[in-house]
Amino acid sequence: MAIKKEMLEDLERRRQLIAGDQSKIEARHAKGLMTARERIQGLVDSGSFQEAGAHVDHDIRGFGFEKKVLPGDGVVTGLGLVDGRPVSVISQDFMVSGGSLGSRHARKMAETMQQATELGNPIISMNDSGGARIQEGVRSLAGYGQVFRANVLASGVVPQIALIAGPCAGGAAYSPALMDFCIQVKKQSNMFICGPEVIKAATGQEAPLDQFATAEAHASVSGNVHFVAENDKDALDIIKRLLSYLPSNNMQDPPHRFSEQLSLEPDYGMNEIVPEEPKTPLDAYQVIDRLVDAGEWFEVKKDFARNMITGFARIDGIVVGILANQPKVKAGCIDIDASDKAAEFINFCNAFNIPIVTLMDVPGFMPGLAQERGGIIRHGAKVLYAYANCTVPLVTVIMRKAYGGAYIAMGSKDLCADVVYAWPTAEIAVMGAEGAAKIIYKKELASAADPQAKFRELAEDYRQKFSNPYQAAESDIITDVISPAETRYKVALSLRSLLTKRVARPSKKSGLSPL
Amino acid sequence: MKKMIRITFEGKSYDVEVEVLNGAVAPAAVAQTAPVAAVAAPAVAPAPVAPAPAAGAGTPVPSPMMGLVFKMKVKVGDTVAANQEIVVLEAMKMETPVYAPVAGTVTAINVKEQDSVSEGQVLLTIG
Repeated sequence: MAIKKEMLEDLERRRQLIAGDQSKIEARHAKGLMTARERIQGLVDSGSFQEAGAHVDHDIRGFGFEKKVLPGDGVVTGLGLVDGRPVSVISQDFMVSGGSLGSRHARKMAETMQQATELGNPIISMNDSGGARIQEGVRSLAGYGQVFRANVLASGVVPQIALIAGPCAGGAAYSPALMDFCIQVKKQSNMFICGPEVIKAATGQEAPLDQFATAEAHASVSGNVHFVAENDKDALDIIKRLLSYLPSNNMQDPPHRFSEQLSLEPDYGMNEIVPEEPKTPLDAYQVIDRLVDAGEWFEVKKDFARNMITGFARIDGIVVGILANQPKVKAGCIDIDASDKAAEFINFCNAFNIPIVTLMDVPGFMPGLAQERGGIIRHGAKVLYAYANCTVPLVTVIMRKAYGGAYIAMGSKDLCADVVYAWPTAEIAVMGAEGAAKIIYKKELASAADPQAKFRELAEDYRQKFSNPYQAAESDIITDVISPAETRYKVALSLRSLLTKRVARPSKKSGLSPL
Repeated sequence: MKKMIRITFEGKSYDVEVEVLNGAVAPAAVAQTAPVAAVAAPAVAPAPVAPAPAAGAGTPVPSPMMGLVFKMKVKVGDTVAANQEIVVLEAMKMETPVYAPVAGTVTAINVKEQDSVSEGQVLLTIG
């Protein structure tokens, strides 16, 4: 009466085939690489993975593939739990035809993402693929189209995280590029549109991979990658850490961990780290370190545009995105790369209900011919657009310099912020005292008996008037002047009060952010 | 007296015309620098420009931004550790420290205090 034994044996045999060839698995281990399945097992809570489409096979017509089986068509997809929260996972299997993307492979990826969008699950997509499956020709390319479309439709609905764990070349690189975060593993992976051979053939340039395709190159030069991982295991840890700051979707709040009591103790150490001399750069990392809860700082794009610091943190348990000018690098000026980095981060926080804390110490947009020709106007405009477009709580602390358009851009009250605190060291002004004195008092300086002495006097006079936060406070363009020591609890209190913020704006089909 | 000589550098050959003047050898005004293969097929890389291997060979330290050299904290011959502060620039109302990218000895200094420098300009070299 029971099921035929042969049928169960057949199922078991098929499962063995899907699990992969042991010799191939061992070969990967010998290279220090995890398999596609091991990456999923390493990410999700033990036993929680529910695979979908394991029995899918290739759709190659001809080329001697009639009797060959490509298990799962080279990709493992399904649902799992990370720290008890559901996620949708895609993991390309390099052991199956080099992880090449066939039409069914692509369909599995797109379906997983569509389902994630409906369920409200974060998408984790692990890339390890030789690229389009040439034997399937244009159907493979069409598959990329489905994947990209699914990425775009999921954008802003669920967080999308890409892992680059092997090759990711040509069109394949555009799926990670459409996602919100990209983690690339050192040594074992490369990401590029055109490889060294194509670059050489087309342009004659020698282009070694380590100059443009590795994790280090993308993290520091191109800005395509948010996190660099040492190995597969490290990459999975980064994904888990990142998820610990994110809501599962845009309808949820991020995982705040409210403390029962909010400490109102001043932190006098914060007073100590502010240099007495305004020209001596403040280290923004020291401020962040004192502002956030212990162990709750998770930096994003650490090696790219280091004059603009971005990262997630908790302040008294509340998940925030922090943006800080770093005066130690390029004087903290906003340049093209810093603009792109800031705007991208602000947009993400706003899309996923993450309050933003801005730590301002900015002398201006970066001067220079290359910056002007490179489009600092349109790039800088992204920062303005992103901030002003925000509906999440925004708290800004003007630590020291706040000059000109860069001050307005960097989360000022009139642009966007709900609360703006300024330290007594804040210099909120249109421009530096020397430059301003030269323009305002041009005639007086020309006719002065001792122009140098007069210039110093007038510049000092301008500095007295504007190199402090009180004129701005008088004009109601900041909320309050606070001591550095009061910063942590004042910001924490503000965040608590602002969590109920609701903003209604006229509906529109799509805003048009500068690009 | 003019002579043609062939120089092979990093696997590429260059035909160069030289002229002998009073026993000294000086390069002729026109040197055919492009290898023959490069003319035939534009896809081949142009001859790589070799950095001048003279005094100051080593790791160049470029200026991270435009500005004034406010403080030069090392002199030629000094030993520096990686990440040691070696130069302080002043720009945009702020001092910007420049750190040694590698450990080594300062072999050349190209700028002095109060010089204005542009982004990417080599400030000094660590050998």
